[in-house]
Amino acid sequence: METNIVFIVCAVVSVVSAILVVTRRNPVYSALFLMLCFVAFAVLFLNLNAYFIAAMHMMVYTGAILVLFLFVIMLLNLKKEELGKEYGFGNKLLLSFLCMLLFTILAALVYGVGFAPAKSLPSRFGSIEAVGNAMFSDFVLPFELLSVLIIVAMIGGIILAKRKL
Amino acid sequence: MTKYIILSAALFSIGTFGVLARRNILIIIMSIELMLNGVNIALIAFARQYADTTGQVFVLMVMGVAAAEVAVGLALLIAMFRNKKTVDTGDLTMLKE
Amino acid sequence: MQNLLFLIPLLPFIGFLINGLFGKRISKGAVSLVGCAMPFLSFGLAMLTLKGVPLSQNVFDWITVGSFSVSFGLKVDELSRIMLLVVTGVGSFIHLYSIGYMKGDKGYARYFSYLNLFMSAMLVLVMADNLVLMFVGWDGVGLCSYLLIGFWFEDLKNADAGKKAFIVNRVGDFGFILGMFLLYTLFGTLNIDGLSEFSDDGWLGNTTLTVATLLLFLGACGKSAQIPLYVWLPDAMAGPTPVSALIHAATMVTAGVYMICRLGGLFIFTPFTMDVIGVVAGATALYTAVIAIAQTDIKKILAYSTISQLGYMFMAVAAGGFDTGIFHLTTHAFFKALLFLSAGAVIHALNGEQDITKMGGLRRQKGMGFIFAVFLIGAIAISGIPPFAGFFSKDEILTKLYTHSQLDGGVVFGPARSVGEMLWLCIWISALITALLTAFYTFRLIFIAFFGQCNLPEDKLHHIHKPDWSMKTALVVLAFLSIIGGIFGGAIHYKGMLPDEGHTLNLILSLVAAFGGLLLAFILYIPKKDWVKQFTTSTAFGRAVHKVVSNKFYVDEIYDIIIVTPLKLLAFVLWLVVDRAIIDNLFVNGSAAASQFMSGRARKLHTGIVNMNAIIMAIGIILILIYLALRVF
Repeated sequence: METNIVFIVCAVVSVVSAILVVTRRNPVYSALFLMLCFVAFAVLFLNLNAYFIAAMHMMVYTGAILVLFLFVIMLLNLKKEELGKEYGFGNKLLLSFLCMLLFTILAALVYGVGFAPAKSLPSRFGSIEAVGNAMFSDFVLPFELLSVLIIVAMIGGIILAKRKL
Repeated sequence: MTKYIILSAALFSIGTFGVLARRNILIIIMSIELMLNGVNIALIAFARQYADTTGQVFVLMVMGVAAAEVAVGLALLIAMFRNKKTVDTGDLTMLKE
Repeated sequence: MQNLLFLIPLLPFIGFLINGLFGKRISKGAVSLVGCAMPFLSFGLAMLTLKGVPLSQNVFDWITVGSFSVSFGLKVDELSRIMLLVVTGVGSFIHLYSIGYMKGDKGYARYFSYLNLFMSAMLVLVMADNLVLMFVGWDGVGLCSYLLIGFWFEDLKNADAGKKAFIVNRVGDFGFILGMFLLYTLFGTLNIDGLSEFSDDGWLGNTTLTVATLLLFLGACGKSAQIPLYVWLPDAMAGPTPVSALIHAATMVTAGVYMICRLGGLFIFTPFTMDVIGVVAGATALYTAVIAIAQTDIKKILAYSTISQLGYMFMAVAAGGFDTGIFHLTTHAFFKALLFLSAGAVIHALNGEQDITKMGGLRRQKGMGFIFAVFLIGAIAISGIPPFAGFFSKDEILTKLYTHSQLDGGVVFGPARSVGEMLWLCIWISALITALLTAFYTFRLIFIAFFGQCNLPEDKLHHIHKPDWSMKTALVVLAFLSIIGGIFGGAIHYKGMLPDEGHTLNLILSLVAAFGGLLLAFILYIPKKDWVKQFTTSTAFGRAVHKVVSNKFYVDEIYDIIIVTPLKLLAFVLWLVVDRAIIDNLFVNGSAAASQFMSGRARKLHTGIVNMNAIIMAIGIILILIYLALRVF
């Protein structure tokens, strides 16, 4: 897992766009920067030999979730005045300190650990066959439960959003 | 390897900031997605480090959960918008004693 | 027979259950039948034990804790045989009497159930073979005494009298229990056989044993009404007259004497306790006889007379004459029960009048002839006039006291007397004077009530009637026993023994005392001129004496000031301070107020701002992470 240019670019892009996501006032801008973030993630996944996952990431996140977000934003059709107030600068500063504290702790926990050099990968690691093999032999149960979860979420979403129950 | 984890931690923290510091519910849900993605990066990095496909399978699970959660969250938002005509969390004070 | 002993106390208990649970629903006749049949059945069974062999039965093992075991064991030997016959015999006839006396009372069934319960408890007391079971019977009779004294509880005075009896008894019970504890630590057993079996002379004068026996005597004082725990007995006259006859004359109050005789084997080894018993009994006998000569309530006179006669029994026991004391117990049961029952007949005939100054000339009234006869028989018996029962037992007691005071032989008032001998001499003299006073106040009662001119109002005169068959039967039987009871007892006891010098002296002296008392009463009360009234109303000294004596030397009032009022004050303070201020206000209300205060503060946390919840959650997670990080490093 050498430090290469791909990693640096993706890291910078994702961090910057993440910051932009959380600071924009207009939700449409936030959604578009989120899409940029997702793209950076997908490239990062490719760098880490997770080919199948990268494809799935793009399909699920940018293809489904982000589209859902944009649908809802357009559906609400909020004008600029209706967007509502935000917190004051002081509050946001305090909270940013809190989150920086969180980051520091997590980073400190990881920093001193000396990871061994990465193991050599078997051929076709991260390909669709490898992931499929693992998923349908060792992890069949979580897979099935995930499908149940999705059905439940689907039903829940339909019922919650109905105009009349 | 360490840098990947630090990147993951950074994204997680930014996501947390978004959840706590914004009042618009849509932004909050998006920040939750950011947090989940940060965790995904960490999982893929570990899978690569130890040459174990388990991490990648787990990422699939996380993605599935994220999708379900977004669906339900947005449905809730629409229901709330119909009742209160606002997406501002500051107006949700019905839990006040 | 051995295996049927448990039936003797069980049958009255069954009667108690039947009358108590179903008494209201079955007819009066059935209640009377059950109530009287049970004691008579027990009496029959008791007669069957007369065969002469000691019997014992272990009904069941009751308490077994480690090395301490107490069983529900019944024992019939010479001593308990006599008590058994007295209790069941006299008791059965008093039950019979009650049929007539309590006729028309609305608590009829309740009365008989309580009376049967009392019989059962008394029989357990008498037949117990260990002290714990005896104490069960002891407490049982105390309870029944309370229930029966306060029988007509709608009148508050009666309920108060019942309470007084129970509380004063409790003080005695406290002594009994402590005595039991000490005996257990000394001997490791509470079985009466076990306590009497040791013959080791090393126990003579043992301090712990003396303390234990003194405590046991305290218990006996409570039950048998000696100084200082006698104050409940006169008040106990608030109960129905048959109750007074049974419980407070013949049976319950003799439980103390019985207990001491049972444990006689122990008391012999503590001469100090015996001396104390003698002094207390002698003082009580004399003191209460003095009070009796100024009382005007017919039952109160008899009550004080009972206390006085109990003093006689204790004096005999204290001098070592255990069988003498029991003999007097038996004859006393006969004539005292007779006296009480006849007094009851008088009260019943006069529709509730109990004050003898309001009576007078009753022997001339139509229908009172029978009552007068039995009353006279009882009076002659108690005064100790031969050949009726009281003479023999009293004579024996005086003789016993006298010989106990003459340890080395020698004449009265000779030189070189030890302190012990002087003590017993004084006790003997006190007994003599009491004998005289006994005859005096009894015949005073007879002369005032039955002789002289009639003071009754017209309506009461019309009401006078003969007693009915149940009352008459009981009175006749008891009168018969009062006449012949002494001769048989004396004959059995003194078979073959020659009278010695002391005996002759006492014979003469007791006759002098008996007839002297009678004569004194005759002189003072029969002639038209009322000497006594003159004495008590004209001179200041006379008035003072009369006031003090007729108010029972103000003992009740003294007790009230010294003991009762401080206790009531303490209870009041405890209620006000501890119960109300501390427990209610501080603890109960205080903790409620504290939790309300804190929850009021805590309520402010619910602002309803959802974001705040999330922020707090994040802070919490960060704290946990800090903790984990610190552990890793």
